[in-house]
Amino acid sequence: MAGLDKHICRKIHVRECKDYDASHLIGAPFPVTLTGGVLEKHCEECNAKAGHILKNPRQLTRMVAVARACDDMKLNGSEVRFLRKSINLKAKELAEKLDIDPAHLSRIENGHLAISVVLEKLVRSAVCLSFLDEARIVGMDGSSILSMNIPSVVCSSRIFSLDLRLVEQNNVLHVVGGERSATVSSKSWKDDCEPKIAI
Amino acid sequence: MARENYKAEQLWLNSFFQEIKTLDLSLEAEFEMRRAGVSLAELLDVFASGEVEWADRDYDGCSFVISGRNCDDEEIKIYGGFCSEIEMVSVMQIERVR
Ligand SMILES: [Zn+2]
Repeated sequence: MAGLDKHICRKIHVRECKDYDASHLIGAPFPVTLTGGVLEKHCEECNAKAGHILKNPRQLTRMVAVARACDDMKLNGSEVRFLRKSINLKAKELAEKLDIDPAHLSRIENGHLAISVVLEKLVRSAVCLSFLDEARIVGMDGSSILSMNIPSVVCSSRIFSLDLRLVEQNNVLHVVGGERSATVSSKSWKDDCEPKIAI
Repeated sequence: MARENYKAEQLWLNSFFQEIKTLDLSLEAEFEMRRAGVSLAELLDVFASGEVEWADRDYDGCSFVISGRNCDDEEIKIYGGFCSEIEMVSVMQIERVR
């Protein structure tokens, strides 16, 4: 019976992806929306998605890490872990750089302890120093991290989100308009702040 | 580094995996990355430092299984292919080895 024949997707085509939610793919604990730099594969016959094609994926992951590192919203534990992994450091290696006990870093990454302002500036600096080219492309100035005015408490109702509009030329991604936009959720955050002890 | 049989493939693939220009991800690989919590940066680190477990060269590329570790020392295997003509690396599936 022809009606029961299982369709097999063979004619795979690609199209430009707009407003693609890339947070899961990048492993970012915050929303990352991409336009440009990502192509979507789909079946021409049944329109089913078949995956994605990324241009210069290494540069993309670095740009997202740098954009988060250079935004002054306080880092939560998941974001600290994300930044550590983005610079490919073991927890023990980052703890050594920060001159803290690995157990201390583990408590920070697991959300049991808020990171102190001094430590998070060191984490942010480590990311920017690792990815100087990407910091320039995203329009960020790594040297301003030390003078950042970072709140001392994590605020649960404020969420960092990143919207990158990219164009690819000769395998290099560029940010359209020369800047990225990072926004926070519109909720009032004053009442929801839960102070945690920072060491 | 490489398994004895795949030293040539390791050398050849390493040069392409250090800076992947175009990465083609299957829906299955994306799903497994999400399920197993493997980020794109981890995947690229495994490509850059992993070893070739198996490879099969053809006229313009190669199918492979790469195995490597992320910065938290967790083993990740990548099943994919490489096309030298368009310098595209394809990932069919990934596996976080527990
Ligand atoms: Zn189809």
